[in-house]
Amino acid sequence: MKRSSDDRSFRIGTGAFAALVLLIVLGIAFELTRQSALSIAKFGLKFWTTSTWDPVSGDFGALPFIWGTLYSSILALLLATPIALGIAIFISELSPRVLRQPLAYLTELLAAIPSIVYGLWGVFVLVPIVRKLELATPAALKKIPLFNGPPLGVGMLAAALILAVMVIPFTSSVAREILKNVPSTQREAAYALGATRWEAIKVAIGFGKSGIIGAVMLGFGRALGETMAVTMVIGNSPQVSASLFKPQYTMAAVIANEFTEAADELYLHALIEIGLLLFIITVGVNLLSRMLIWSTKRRAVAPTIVTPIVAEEVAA
Amino acid sequence: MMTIEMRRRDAAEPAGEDASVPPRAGRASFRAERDALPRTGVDVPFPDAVRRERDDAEWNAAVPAAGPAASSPPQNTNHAQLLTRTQPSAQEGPMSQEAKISVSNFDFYYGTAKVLHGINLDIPDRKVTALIGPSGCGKSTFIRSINRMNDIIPDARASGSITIDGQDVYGGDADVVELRRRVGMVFQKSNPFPKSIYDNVAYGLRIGGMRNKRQLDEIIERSLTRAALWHEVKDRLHASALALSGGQQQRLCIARALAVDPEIVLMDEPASALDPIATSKIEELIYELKDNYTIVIVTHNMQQAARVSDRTAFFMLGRLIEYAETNEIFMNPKEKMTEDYVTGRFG
Repeated sequence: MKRSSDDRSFRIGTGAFAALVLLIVLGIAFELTRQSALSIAKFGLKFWTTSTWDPVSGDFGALPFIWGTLYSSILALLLATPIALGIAIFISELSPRVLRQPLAYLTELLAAIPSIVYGLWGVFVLVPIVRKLELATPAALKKIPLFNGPPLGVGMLAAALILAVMVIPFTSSVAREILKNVPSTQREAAYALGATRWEAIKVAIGFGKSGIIGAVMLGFGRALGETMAVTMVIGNSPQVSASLFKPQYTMAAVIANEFTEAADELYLHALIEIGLLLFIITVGVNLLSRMLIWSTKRRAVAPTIVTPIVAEEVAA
Repeated sequence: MMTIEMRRRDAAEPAGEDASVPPRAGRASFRAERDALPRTGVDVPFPDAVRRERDDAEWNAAVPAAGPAASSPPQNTNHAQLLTRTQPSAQEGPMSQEAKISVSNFDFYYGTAKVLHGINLDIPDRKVTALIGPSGCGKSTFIRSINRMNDIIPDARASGSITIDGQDVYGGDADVVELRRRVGMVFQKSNPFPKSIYDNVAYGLRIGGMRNKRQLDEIIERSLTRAALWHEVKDRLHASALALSGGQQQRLCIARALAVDPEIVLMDEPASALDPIATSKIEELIYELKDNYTIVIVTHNMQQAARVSDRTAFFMLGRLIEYAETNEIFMNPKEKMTEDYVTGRFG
């Protein structure tokens, strides 16, 4: 009796903690909605699609911030993914065994550096380099919208670069773990058919595909929410532009910068609504990646009707 | 050491002096002994029935035909006389054939641990050669040495030589990718890729550079047919291979290995994870494949070795203890250790 009641209380206790997680998520969503009620009521869906951000006249639209967040994150993803996967592949498949542990440790160390430190490094090292790069851009290239803009150093390119550096350790650690867990029988199967090392690695990547997509998405989620370092290098100017050189703004950065200055109620509510949007987008990206992983997994193991085969085998 | 001893014994037999061609004595009682072999309790329709039929055929044809191995003419003459059957036949007696794989003084190390000690044996072409022995005796290491699968393992090292058709597998100019295309392998646990059935079989062809759809289709059908899987999967070639049953997956892996048209197929306990029905299918398959392929199979199941193989090598503690005709090993082993093992006294 005594022991089975222990079991039950254990289950109730851990269950309560699990419920707490759900409660916190719902609580955040609820609070964000409640505290941005004024802005939601006044702007409605227009808040997503307009670009004015004018605290003085009380006119708010979040499009430049949504744009800045998504653009910088996607750029960072494009830059970081090949490098992160390269690191993961090198560490798990190619590196000499003595280097394996130290390299894995160093990449994980990168993830542990506080983002304010990345920001400082960005301001003092990365931004001057980017500025030189921008100054060296030939005039002909500058006509393309992508490279159009003043050579300030701060701007979208600097933000994307620093985000990429910050995302790499996350993506590569998870991808490395996934490659490590690919059964060696898969690689052996490839080798036994005359695969080269690279072909065998491709087999391993194919096997871990869904997990690797998850790793990339994890990096994306991290880039979306990253605040401090980006705020310090992106230039903080709300505009929707495809230019890599122009200063822009992100959702997290605007909240961090303007929250303390938000004097009137509507301004505050508009900022909190940006928080709500960020929350929704992050959840959305996560759901999307889950679905992606789920669909590739399902495709891989799709069980067709098994019974007739078994019957056939027995009959044969 | 042991192998050398064994060879000396062989040399003393009437069979001949060439140690690389093991003798074939005592064939007269072959049938009786074969029938007396221990059978599994499971009623497996194929091996027994077909085996007997085949045995008869083999008996009638087993006489070494013209063109005995150049190295051992006296032996063949001897055998012909021993058998007192002289029907001419295109089919060569098993022992008069050239060795497909020739292993001499082969040692293998994992780091500093020596796991194979001076292995010497010749594996005949288009026969099934079984490797038996207790766990950890080195038979898996040995079979994986033939296609250099051990290369993947860090700190693994080989010395001595393994030659296939006279070409040194471990020679400086040996191309390991090419080698593995010539020497297919089937593993203990079926390991299909998480792709469609079609793509699994096509894998080896595609990495070999084949892109022609019609050619691929053709070879895939042929390979699946040879692996006795075609009829079960022909309507769903593009379904996931992981949806197949364990036995089907293993046959798919065999088809995948056959698709690249190897000369030799190595099987490392191919049926150990399968139920008796699936096992019998694999055995049946092995039996059919040996017309076209040289097969080396590692097995823990001694009945299986007895059923499917022509020759058996008994390994123990990294040494080749005895290597002879399968019925010799099981009925008339020369080594005490072999006898103890095959009669189940240990292992």
